[in-house]
Amino acid sequence: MGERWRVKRGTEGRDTDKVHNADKVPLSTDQSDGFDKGMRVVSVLISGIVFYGAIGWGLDHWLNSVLWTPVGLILGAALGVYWVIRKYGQAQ
Amino acid sequence: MRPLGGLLVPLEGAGEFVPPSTSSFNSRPLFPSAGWEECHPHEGAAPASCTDFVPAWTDAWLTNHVCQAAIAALVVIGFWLWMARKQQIVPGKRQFVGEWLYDFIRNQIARDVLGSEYRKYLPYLVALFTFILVNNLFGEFFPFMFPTFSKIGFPYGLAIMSFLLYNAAGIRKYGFGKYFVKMVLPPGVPWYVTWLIIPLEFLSNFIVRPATLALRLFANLFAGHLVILVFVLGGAWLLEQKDNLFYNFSGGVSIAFSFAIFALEIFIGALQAYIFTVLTAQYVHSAIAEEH
Repeated sequence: MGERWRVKRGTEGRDTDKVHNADKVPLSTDQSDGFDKGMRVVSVLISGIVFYGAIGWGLDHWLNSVLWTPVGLILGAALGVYWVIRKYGQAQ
Repeated sequence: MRPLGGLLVPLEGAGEFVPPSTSSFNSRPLFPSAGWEECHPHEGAAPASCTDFVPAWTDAWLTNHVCQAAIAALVVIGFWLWMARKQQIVPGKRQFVGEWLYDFIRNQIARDVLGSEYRKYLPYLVALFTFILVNNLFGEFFPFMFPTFSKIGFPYGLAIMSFLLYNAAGIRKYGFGKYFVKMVLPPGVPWYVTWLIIPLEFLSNFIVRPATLALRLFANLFAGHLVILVFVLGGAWLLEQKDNLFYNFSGGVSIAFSFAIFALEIFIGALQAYIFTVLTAQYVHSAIAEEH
């Protein structure tokens, strides 16, 4: 892709140095990655509570009970925390 | 001087203070149909005669805020066309500004996040960043003085664009099945935990992340604009009160302080444009990245 682009628009002499460097940049991140990781952690925690809370609420609705919503919420929160630790908790 | 209670509850004087609220964010039709004004009073309920008011079909969607977003898009297109004109080896002032902004997005956002695959996504990221930036700056400057993205529909639209982009990028690289499995399946856990985690990953990757992307942008601008309204409208109301120097003084301080808030809002508007763009790039990256 980079090659084709450069041939097509190859007039900007200043630009090509940077393009060479850019192609050497590995497909990895460090700076903004931390921010994204933080947001992912939050979204996993939210997802756990929302999903298992909703299942508990559905069970309650179906069984006419009041037990499963809190159970689902707590289980979902616990699963979210478990998964966050499991996925993002290892030391680099 | 009035009793102290007057400080908390305005007693008498020129008009009751109507605090800014969510109704301050209501859109107005660009070409309101006959009778629209009477049936949408600035405060209070609409008169009873409005029950059979039939709005024109443009009333619902052709509003000042949609118009504002369209103007922002035109500004962005015009800006980049102007910047791209008559490029020279040694840039002049105009070209320097354009290259500086372009380089910022390319180096700090696209290349930093996406690595060697950044070029495909750079045009979208440049357009996205400048579009959000222009719309956010509309909140602080004339003629609009209203940040477009404090209406929740606009951030939702952008989040849907980001959603389509990162999923399309992932599907294009891996094919639908493999991409879906990659996004949903947690690697390296026992099978009975896998089934508990799969819905978590699905919700997190396909719903919560784009939704929070939109909500973050919306909430920042909504709250910021509301704070500005409180300081400016409240300050103006206090300034207008007669026979109460304390009110007038606080009103003056409030108006003066609102300029600091304006400056803060300019900063927040730029920051949110940056964050939205970085996260969009990051989502694309996580859709096309190999497992790590």
